[in-house]
Amino acid sequence: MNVAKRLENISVLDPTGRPVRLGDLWRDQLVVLAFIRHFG
Amino acid sequence: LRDALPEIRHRGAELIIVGNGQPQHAIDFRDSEQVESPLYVDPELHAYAAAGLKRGLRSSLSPGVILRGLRAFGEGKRQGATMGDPWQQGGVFIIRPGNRVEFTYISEEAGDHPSAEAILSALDKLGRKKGGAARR
Repeated sequence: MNVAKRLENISVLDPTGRPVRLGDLWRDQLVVLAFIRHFG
Repeated sequence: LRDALPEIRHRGAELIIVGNGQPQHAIDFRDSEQVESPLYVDPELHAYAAAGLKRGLRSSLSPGVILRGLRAFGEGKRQGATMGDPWQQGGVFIIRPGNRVEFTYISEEAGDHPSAEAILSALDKLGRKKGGAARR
């Protein structure tokens, strides 16, 4: 299973705390998905 | 990579940043760094784990990291207070609709990340592939 399939059903939180399904982010668009080590 | 945002968008892609920490960290980061990209947090590190990103003391403190840290320190850069899990490493993926993964970069240690040129060049190749298909 590729990484997009492993990630698509996992939810992350937007800055307001609302869950967003990762797969929805690239359903209609090309994305550069950057996981950063930490903020700040 | 953030600085490449206009060029990423120019190539028809969106830069999405996922951080490890709480939503408030994303707000602070967005406000202090004036980040325009969509920002998300993964407090439980579920997405980091599913993406196969590395975590651990060893990958955080290799000689390469210490050298780069010393160099950065010499150049007057100081890391601010760390938020989130300090042992979590990052990575970058380019994903197209249909779960098509076009680029993968798993960071081995702190300070190890793909150059903006590598990302833009991968996006350029995708653009050419699309253009080529259209011409055929």
